[in-house]
Amino acid sequence: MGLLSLLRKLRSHPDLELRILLLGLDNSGKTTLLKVLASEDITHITPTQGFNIKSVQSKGFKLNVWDIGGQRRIRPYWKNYFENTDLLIYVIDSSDRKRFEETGEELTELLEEEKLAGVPVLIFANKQDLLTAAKASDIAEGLNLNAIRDREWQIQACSAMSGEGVKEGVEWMTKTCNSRKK
Amino acid sequence: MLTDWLHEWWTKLYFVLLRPMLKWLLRHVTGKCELLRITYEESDRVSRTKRIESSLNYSSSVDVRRCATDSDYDISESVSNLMKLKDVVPEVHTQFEPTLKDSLLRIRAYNKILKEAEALRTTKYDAENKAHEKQLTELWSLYKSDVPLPQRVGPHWQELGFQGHDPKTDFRGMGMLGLQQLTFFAVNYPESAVRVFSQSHHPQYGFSFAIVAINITGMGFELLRKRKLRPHFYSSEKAEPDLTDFHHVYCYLLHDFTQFWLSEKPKDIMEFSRLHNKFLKQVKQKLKSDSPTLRAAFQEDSS
Repeated sequence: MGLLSLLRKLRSHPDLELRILLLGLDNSGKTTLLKVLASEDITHITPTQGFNIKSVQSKGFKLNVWDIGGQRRIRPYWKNYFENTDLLIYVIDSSDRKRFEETGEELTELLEEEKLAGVPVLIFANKQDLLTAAKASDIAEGLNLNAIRDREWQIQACSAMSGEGVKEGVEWMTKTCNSRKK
Repeated sequence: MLTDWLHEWWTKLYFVLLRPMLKWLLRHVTGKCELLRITYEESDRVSRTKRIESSLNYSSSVDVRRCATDSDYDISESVSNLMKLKDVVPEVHTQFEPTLKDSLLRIRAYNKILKEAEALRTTKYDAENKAHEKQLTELWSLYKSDVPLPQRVGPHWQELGFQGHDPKTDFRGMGMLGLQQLTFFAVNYPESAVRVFSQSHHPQYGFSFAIVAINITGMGFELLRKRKLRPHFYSSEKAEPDLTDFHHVYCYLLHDFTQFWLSEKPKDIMEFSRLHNKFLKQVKQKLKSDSPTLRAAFQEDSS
């Protein structure tokens, strides 16, 4: 047995695995967020055709994050990834006011999905670094998030580019999953 | 963590102690410096150039390192300075000068391509910039020659395989490099470009043309940045390849990826990452083979 596998065996608690789904419209910043979560370089990102998946270690959790492309053509495939989801992250481009209605419709549809019933949702109001970004509280009001009663939810202002707010979102995720898994 | 530490420790030991000792020993046993030994030992241009490159890069002398990296340092001057520094007598080792010069040209050319590609890539598409807007309109007419562009913003861009109503956000991390390469393909190989574009509309195996093309720009740039394209450029007939030669590589990648995608009969577009990685692996293998030139049959007539 190698030294590394021995060390691995000595660890008392194996990490809890969580399946996390990362959704949102195209150009909302899902892949950038995924790379930030995995502490990777974010300067070479291209639009996602299909999906990306990464495993991230965080506070005793192994987060398996599925980042699915957001273009209209790919959205019908979202449902293929719903099963066994522990947590949904929904990303919104806070500066793209023209598409607030579209992103709200997609979110409503997701929350009505049977396979996602009761799954906690974290909404990232992304791109807060842009001057034209709407405030997270305004987005919450516009999307009528307060009407969500069937699950835990949270809206978090963030900028995937600068990293601001991402940590707080992850903390909410692990806290929520901790209380559910126990 | 332990392996990282061991690796770091070993690297330090190697470069600070072992490598200089070995070089000193070999120099006294063979009577030749490292560069001279390489030109005698390596008949293959790719491995010779690669070895010369790392010999220069790992040199402890700033003057020697400059030969590989400083684009303002005249090539002939670099070569004669290296010969003086290393006490190589040109009358005795006649092949040294031309061989070293050839390798230096290629090393410099590669670095120049990378620099120029990086500059284009980091230039964001700017809707306020008239030149950018013009290039985008041109792109439309190149691929949709039968239909005039209805308007600057609208759902028609999705026919070209962009994600939404305005392509400007789709170039992302590839910036103007993505747009320029997509244009380059249609201008230089109009028949192949139109064919690949129509293949992207395959009823069963279709894909978003522009988005896939931008991802292929990403693939090519990653290969370039990680210096994986050296076998291609170091073996090319052209002694000083330039940025357009990198664009030719892109055309090869986009064309061959499309043929590969169709032949794999993917279930749906969600297979993209898997097949993208599988294709990339094949490209890397080709680059390691004895014929590392990334060139398709349709590219044979033009340079």
